[in-house]
Amino acid sequence: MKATDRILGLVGSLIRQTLVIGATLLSLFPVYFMIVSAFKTRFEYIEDKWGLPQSLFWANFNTALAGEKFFIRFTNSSVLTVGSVLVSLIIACLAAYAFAKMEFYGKRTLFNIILSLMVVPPVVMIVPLFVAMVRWKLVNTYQGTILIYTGLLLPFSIYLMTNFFRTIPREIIEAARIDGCSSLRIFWNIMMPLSAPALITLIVVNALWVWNELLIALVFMQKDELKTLMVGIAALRSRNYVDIPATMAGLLIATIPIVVVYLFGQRYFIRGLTGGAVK
Amino acid sequence: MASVTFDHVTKRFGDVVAVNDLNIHIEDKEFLVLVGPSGCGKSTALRCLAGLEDVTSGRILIDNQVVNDIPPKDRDIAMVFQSYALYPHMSVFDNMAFALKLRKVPKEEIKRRVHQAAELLGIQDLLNRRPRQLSGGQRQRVAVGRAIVREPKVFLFDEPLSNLDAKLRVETRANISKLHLQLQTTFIYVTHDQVEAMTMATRIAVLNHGVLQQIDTPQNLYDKPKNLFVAGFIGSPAMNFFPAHLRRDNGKMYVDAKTFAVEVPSDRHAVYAPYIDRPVILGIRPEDIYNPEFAPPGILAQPVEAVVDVTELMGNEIFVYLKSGEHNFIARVDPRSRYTINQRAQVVFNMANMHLFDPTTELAVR
Repeated sequence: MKATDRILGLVGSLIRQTLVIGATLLSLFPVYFMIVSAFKTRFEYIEDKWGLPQSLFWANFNTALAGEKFFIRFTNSSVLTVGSVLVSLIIACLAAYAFAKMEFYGKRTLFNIILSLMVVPPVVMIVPLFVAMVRWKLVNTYQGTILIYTGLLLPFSIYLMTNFFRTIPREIIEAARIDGCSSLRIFWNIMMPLSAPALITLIVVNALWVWNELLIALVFMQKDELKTLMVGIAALRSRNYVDIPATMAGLLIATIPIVVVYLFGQRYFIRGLTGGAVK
Repeated sequence: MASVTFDHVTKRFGDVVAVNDLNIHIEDKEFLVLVGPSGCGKSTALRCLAGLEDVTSGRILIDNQVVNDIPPKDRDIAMVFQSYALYPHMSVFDNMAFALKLRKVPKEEIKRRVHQAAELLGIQDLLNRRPRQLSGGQRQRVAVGRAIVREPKVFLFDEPLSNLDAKLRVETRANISKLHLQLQTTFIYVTHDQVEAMTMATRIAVLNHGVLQQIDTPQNLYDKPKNLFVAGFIGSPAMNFFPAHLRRDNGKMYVDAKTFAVEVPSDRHAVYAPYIDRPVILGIRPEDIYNPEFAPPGILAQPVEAVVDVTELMGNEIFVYLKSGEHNFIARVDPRSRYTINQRAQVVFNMANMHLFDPTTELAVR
């Protein structure tokens, strides 16, 4: 009896491990593909798509960096990312504070409307947005694109922060009120420091999304000197040929900042996702 | 240091009346305990006083000034919460200093006051720690310390001991009483634990369903409960109640509970006369029921026959659960008593300490 139990347990754990390893390999494969392709010559890539490069071919990186344009695009991406993440964070936190800790007329309805906006795909909004942006003369401006990104980031950001703020015990806020805090000071001195894990999670998730976003950047930042990194890299496979290794080299460079952001926030990221164990 | 007045205070949450026309005047330096079962409105009353809830009607006065529209921070009160509500991201020092910093008290003064309070509470060594590095008892003391440094007019305590273990609770209870003597400030304390209320209060206010039942000194509340609720709530084990009839026989007066009848002391005849031949409720506290062998001399002993249901040895006494017909009651008897289950036993009621209640109004007949 005991022996069969042990064998069953072993089989179970084997299946579990296999699944986990399989999932890991599957999600790591694109990263592997990106890295090995970035170091191959084009012929090498055509001959052997999945294998390791015979030697490290650095010229792809030169193609990808393509003169000073890379740095302009890097700056554009950075401005859009920092701008929209920052603006959406400020608005989302203030809104979430109100949703989580204040009473006002229409609170639930408003919150539900915001939640439902999470499911609207950006693609369907492109045309009306473009018309509006043209009318407001915001096409080809940082402000205009930041505005769109902020709008798209807000529903999820408000949702996440509201749920996190709700886990902060009411008594702590009441104690702060008795101690002499105004609502804004409670927000700044109590809510914000206690929400560090959720804030960092939100920054990482949002920054990742804006940095990698292609469609809106492509449509609303058309001038060459305003193009973002992702648009620039996508343009590498231009009219005459598709230079996959150069594209991959570009992507590899573009990935680095976001990996840094992730690694920096990872400790909090995990904690943020496991929710507000505030005691 | 200030007096506090609840003047016809009512608080509704939708259709629920949490506090119903509460009138209490609390003197300066008094230790008032609000006590009652959960949901009786005691915490709500305290939160109204703190300014965390608006009152629906009525006035709250601190130091003879109406504070209804004054925000919590300007009421000059400090509150200790059941969950302590310490700021998790601040050190103990910062937790205690936070309110003073907000009031722009000079740094030196903050330091002096925090250290003074820490010394009073024996938490000097913890000032640099974070709340999560503290035990429950230490957190509780920090929460009290945070209130002390404010030097408020009124201290509010919302069940501050209920998260402590039994031994620590007894110890902290004594410390809070001591603190009240040292600080000479008005304390208002909410608890559901009548032992806490009895041991600490200068006066106790008993609430039920949002209505003030009685407010008096602990001794008076115990000896002269105004109604059935207070009589049953204060004291542990609770007072025994016997639905009965009052009758007169040969110039003597008896409480007749069908399976037994006990004689009413003559000094009460005049007061109880209107209830002759009417239903009443007899109240006897468990400690007023004796094993006849060990009954002290001088009591007005009236014998009652009963069957032993359960006995609980407490060491210094025995709780005997007794049955007499439909009546179930508890006696706290001398530990030398020997009772066995299902045994027929005779006990005596000390009628000098009897209580009589009107079953319709539930008020004590006095």
